[in-house]
Amino acid sequence: MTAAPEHTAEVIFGWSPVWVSSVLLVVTYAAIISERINRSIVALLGAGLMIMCGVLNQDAAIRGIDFNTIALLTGMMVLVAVTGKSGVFQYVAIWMTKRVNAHPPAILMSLAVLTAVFSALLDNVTTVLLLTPVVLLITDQLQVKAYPYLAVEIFASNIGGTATLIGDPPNILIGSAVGLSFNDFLFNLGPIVLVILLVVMGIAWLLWSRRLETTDELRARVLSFTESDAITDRKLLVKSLGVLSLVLAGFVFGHPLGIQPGTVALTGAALLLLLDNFGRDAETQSEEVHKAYGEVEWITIFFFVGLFIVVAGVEQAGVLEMIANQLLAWTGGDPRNTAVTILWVSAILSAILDNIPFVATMIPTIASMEAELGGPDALMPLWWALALGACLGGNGSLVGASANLSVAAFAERAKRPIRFLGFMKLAFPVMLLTVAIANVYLVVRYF
Amino acid sequence: LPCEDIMVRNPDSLSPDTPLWDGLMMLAERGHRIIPLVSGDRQYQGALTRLHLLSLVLPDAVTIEDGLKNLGFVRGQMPVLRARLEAGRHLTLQEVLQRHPVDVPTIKPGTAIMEAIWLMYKDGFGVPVVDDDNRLLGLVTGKAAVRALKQMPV
Repeated sequence: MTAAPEHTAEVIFGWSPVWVSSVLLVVTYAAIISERINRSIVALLGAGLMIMCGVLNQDAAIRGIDFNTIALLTGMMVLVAVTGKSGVFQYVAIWMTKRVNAHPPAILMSLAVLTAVFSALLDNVTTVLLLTPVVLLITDQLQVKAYPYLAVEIFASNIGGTATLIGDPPNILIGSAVGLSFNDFLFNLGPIVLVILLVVMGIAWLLWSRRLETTDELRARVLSFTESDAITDRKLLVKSLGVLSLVLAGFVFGHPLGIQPGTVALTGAALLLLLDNFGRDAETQSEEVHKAYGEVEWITIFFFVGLFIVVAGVEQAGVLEMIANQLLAWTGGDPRNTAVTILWVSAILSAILDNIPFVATMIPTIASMEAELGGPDALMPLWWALALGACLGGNGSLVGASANLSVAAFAERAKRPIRFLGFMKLAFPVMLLTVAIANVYLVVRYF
Repeated sequence: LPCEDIMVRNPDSLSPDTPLWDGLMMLAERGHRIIPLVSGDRQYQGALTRLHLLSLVLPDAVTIEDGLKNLGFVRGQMPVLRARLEAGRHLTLQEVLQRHPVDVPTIKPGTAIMEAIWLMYKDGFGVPVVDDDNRLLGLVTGKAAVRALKQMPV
């Protein structure tokens, strides 16, 4: 066997790498924004062109892919898919509804807490995919409007996801690239996320609590649900919760030992698959494992892979350093102004655009400000600003985050469509308020 | 063998304007899994299936794609199901088909029987046979397919 010739990076026709990579980045992002072609196809094509045009060689492109992020996303998706088979998410939602005696406004509040907690510990999209059908069933039985519940679910999923390393893709990207731990996110973002969640719950209460009325008879229907029957596989439930606990412990304690979250998540996924399939014949194992892998959102995974390479291209060409210098020139090199600018720009852009490409581009941009701002510690508030802006910004419109789109798709299928502008009239001001709170927190805590 | 050799010719059919209740009665009393809907000149307009009936009485949270996978925890729902059915009583069959779309494939008279058997295996109900002008010619059903198989020399 002969080795493949080494691919050297040399931009075609002797063109400037800055221009070629910038054009490819802009065209890729424009195509993603237009939503006319699936975003994973666009990102992979952009990545391919970045290599074929000679901006990056093959090795640099592969190095540009953050495999820790890919492993963390894939591992968590498999873990949650297998856990979801046990029916535990429906169990918790019904249990919670019965604990508040099926009073509609109380369900609204507890749904916010439940969604926020699930979203902090699991992937947002998965959380809403598992909770929305139960929410639709309960609102249907109580004959109350589903909209307030779906809106609260969207808000709480984005807010809850902001609190942890694994809660939202922007945090996964930032944590992985910068080497921040699960605890770093929890201690720095957890307190303000709690405040923001309470504020948003207060707004929801003021807006909707008086309008959500039902009858005792309808409540009795919901109270007659037997949540224990929602559990379809008790053995799997025990195994899943055991492995999920180990994985969470791995996130917390693995960081000081140099074990990356991606390794923890994928190992946890493999362990759960082993426990779930142990003792089954080869054919059934093959079917079950195939199903579990099928639950991975491959569009997201391939989107990330392509995007990492596109961003690596512009980074290597020096474009991101130029953007960083420009940003520092605008903010006068003042860390506080820079953090606040990053927070608001991230929030506004994330409300209307996909926040993943933005964050992927901003990470190397912010990293290149290190010398100018005075070392890695000076960058910390900027990372929190980026995480808060990108995650909370997702609440600004229906297209702000993948979880929003998932809830909207469910609502549409259940013939309770959420109108884009109607939602935005509420969501955008709520998003601005939450970002303003985050702004105050950033300034008070870090400057 | 082409499908036209085994299909039931002139199967029971209804007009799209028929009230839901009459359609359900025909499904229940004659044991059909599917009833084609035809307008004037036997123009095929769709088909009422048992899935439509189930979609009417089940909550949307279950019937939508990626909805709930298990409903064992929902107790005491018979009055609720009855109320749902009652609520849909005033609908015409055409309205039911619009609200609860179910993919019902059709075949041509010359289509191979294997295709019809596969479609019945996949969907669980018979397959309407239509001509090039979309006129209903017949219905391939499980019973018809078994009858044809039994009559074939071994």
